[in-house]
Amino acid sequence: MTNEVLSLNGITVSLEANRAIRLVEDVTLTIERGQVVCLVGESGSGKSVLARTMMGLTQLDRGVVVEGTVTWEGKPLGRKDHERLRGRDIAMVFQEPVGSLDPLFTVESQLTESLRRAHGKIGSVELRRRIRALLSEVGIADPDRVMQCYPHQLSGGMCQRVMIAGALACEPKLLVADEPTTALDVTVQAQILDMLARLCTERDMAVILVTHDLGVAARLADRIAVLYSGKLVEEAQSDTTFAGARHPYTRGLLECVPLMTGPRRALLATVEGSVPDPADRPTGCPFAPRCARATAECTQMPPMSIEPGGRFSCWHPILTPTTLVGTIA
Amino acid sequence: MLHFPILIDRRHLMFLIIVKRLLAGIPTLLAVALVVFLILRLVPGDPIRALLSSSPPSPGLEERLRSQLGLDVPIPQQFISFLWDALHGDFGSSYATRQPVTTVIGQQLMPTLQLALAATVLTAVLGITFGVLAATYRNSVLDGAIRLFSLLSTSMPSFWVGLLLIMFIAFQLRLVPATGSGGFDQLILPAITLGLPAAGVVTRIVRNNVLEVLEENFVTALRAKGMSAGTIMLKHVLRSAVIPAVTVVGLQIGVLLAGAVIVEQTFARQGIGKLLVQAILSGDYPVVQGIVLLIAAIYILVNILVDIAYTVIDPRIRMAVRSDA
Amino acid sequence: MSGIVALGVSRFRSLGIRGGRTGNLLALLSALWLLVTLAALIVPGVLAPGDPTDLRPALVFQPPSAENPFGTDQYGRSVYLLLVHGARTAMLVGLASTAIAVTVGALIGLIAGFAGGWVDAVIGRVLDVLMSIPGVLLALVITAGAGSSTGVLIISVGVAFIAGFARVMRAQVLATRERVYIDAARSVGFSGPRILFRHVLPNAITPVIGLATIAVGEAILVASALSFLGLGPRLDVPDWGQLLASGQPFLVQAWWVSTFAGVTISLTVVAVSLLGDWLKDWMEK
Repeated sequence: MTNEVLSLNGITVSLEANRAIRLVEDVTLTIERGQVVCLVGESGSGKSVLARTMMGLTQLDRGVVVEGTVTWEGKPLGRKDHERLRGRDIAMVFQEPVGSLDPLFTVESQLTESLRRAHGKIGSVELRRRIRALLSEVGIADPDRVMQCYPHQLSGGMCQRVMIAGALACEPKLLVADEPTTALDVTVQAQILDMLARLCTERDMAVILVTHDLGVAARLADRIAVLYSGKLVEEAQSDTTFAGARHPYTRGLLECVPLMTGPRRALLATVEGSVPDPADRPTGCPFAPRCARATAECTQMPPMSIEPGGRFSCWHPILTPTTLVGTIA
Repeated sequence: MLHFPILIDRRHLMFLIIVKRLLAGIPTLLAVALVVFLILRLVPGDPIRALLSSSPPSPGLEERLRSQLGLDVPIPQQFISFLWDALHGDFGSSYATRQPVTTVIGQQLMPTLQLALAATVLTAVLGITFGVLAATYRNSVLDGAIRLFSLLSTSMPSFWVGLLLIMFIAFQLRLVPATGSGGFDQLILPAITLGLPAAGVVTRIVRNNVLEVLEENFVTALRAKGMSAGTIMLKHVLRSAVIPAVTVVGLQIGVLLAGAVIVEQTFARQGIGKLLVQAILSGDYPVVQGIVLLIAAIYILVNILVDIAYTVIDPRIRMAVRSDA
Repeated sequence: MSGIVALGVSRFRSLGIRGGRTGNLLALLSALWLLVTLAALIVPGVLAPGDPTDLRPALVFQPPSAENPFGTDQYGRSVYLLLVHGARTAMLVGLASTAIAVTVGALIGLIAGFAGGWVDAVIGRVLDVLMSIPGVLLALVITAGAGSSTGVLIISVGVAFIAGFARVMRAQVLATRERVYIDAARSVGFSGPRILFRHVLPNAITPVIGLATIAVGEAILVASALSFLGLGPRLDVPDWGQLLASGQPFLVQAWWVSTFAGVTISLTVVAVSLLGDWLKDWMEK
């Protein structure tokens, strides 16, 4: 039995109106059981689109064309298969917790909905027991009170916990989390992330965590996949990435993280320039215009180079270990 | 505001809210009565002359009539006595028939209520169905057709629509009778004529709301949960989209009642609309007052009901209202 | 008549035509139609030479033909002539009543918004009351008291729409008042009225005009409804509503009388709406 849970093969998402505009281009990625994979990138990198494609949601959107295949445990997924998986084997958690819950229904009804979908008819006593268990599992101290609440009565952090509880209700093999902590306070962020890590191990559940924050990835990830302007530029084990990322963009991101131990009055490092609009993407490597190491060769898209620790797509990878100085000298 | 102990339960609270709203409606109703009263009396035009125009002139007749009808005292006094009598259930007597206004109106009320009810049902059903269809199949031919319907139904004068319906369905096709106030058959065309413009408005509002709700984050989250489009639409989207639609239907009731005036004329139906027109033409102020007050009262009542419906449907409003009380 | 003014919702938008070629084409057609109507208002003799009130018993109930494009009515008068000459009342009432409603309503809204406090509360109550009486009804009541003449018709329809404009204006004033740049203007020393004219009014114009275009259409409908009921002014040339009413008893033998009157009213209302909304879109650019 394969360890593979979900696999994306040559996924390209383009606009129906103009097929030249690609939100995601030729991404191939495999997720294994119990792994935490962080999808890292700036806004506009296509990471949310990719996450939604894993769920099969992008395929349902109007005005968008998805090419390539998504497979589940080795088998390719059609629309119907994907729909069957949602809420049963795969679940998703979103960025804006309060708005992602129906304001007209209590926590109890929404969790009931999720439980019934995954497990069929359940008696109300059993239902309540399970809901209480789920809410406790996500760290909610008084589940009975929270059950009766409406989303607008709960804080962002609470709502996010409820959403995660809802996602866990079906005992999924894969949880896709799209920037789940971006809208929350920093202290709550840490709690939620730790909780996700714990759940991942306890339930042997794979997690895809979409984030723009490498700090988040450092905390949780087994593997890190870096997206730039719709293309997968690097993907490696977490340790490998932090010890010595190959792709100049990843390096740039790493160097942007300010260190507590760095010199006090130095300038913060930045990556010059900004992410290109999907309509204006240059041919070849999308990062070339911003890359200090770019040459004429870079007008050709570099192939994926595969190493023991991971893979990257660059003509001029950085081979030295990372210096997490966090500043420009 | 008064503070209630926490032990008071939900039903008591709802009851209190309803009572509070009803009480708030009373000053409005009084104000409406005042406005109507004033308009009829202050605006140039003299009912006495009109009443006497057909009788031979005779001295003192005018003064006697005036005093008999209570029109010779100052206006504020007239209003007070009107209110006083009204509290006792006496809304005056018709100038024309001398019968109490309540009787006159009561006789004609039923057909109008039937008509208004039928039209409201039509408006709600048609409006919501079309609105949802148009939103679901956005930008399709169906959507375009429904929006065209909405535009036309609100632009064509209802009396003309009525006439068209009479011409084609009653006369050409002979499906239903054209006029009369009897049974169900005679209710169909008038109800359609009356309800169509309102349906057009409701359609558009529902369509817009459904589209807005479909953009909400929680709908995507529900999709991610694996719910089918149909379930999401029926269970979640409609509930959210219906809320503003309820206000519209409530508002439309007022319009329907007013429109009944025209429709009853067009289809020669009995009802308070026809009565109102007659009363206006003959200068029968008490009857005019009575009908307008009745319609305004119904309108205010319906709006209170709509408010209450809101608190029942949307928990966010319910909580806010509760903390208000 | 569909309470659209109370809701402030536009008809044109419902077709989802936002600018673009279809929108422009429709606006053009509407403008053309309205020009024709205006011509009918100003120089009816040019569009329809002849005396509309001419009773010609020999030509009673003629179907549409070359001499009488829309047929004749029960007095042998040409329906076409009647419609063209009757345009005056409809357009006049529509425009004048809206003008009254806009001016008075906007003024009330401005006062309410700026004064705030008890003035606003009182005005708010009064508006509430006015909105509790459906528009057509209010117009009916005024006609009841004041009798039937063109002036009364204009005023009663106008009064019915005042509340809508007052609301819009007030909302605009309140919204603009909250905006930070008013505070900025104040802090530099600008006074109330100056702020009013330079900041509040320009912002308020767009929604007010939007509502006005809707209102003109509604006004025409309400006015023709009142005429249809027989509560309109007594004129030599019947206005469109009265013409429609006069054709009603003869639907079977002379459908053209009522039908053309109805078509004319509908087309005019649609044209006003479409053109108005196109204007609104254009102003928002």
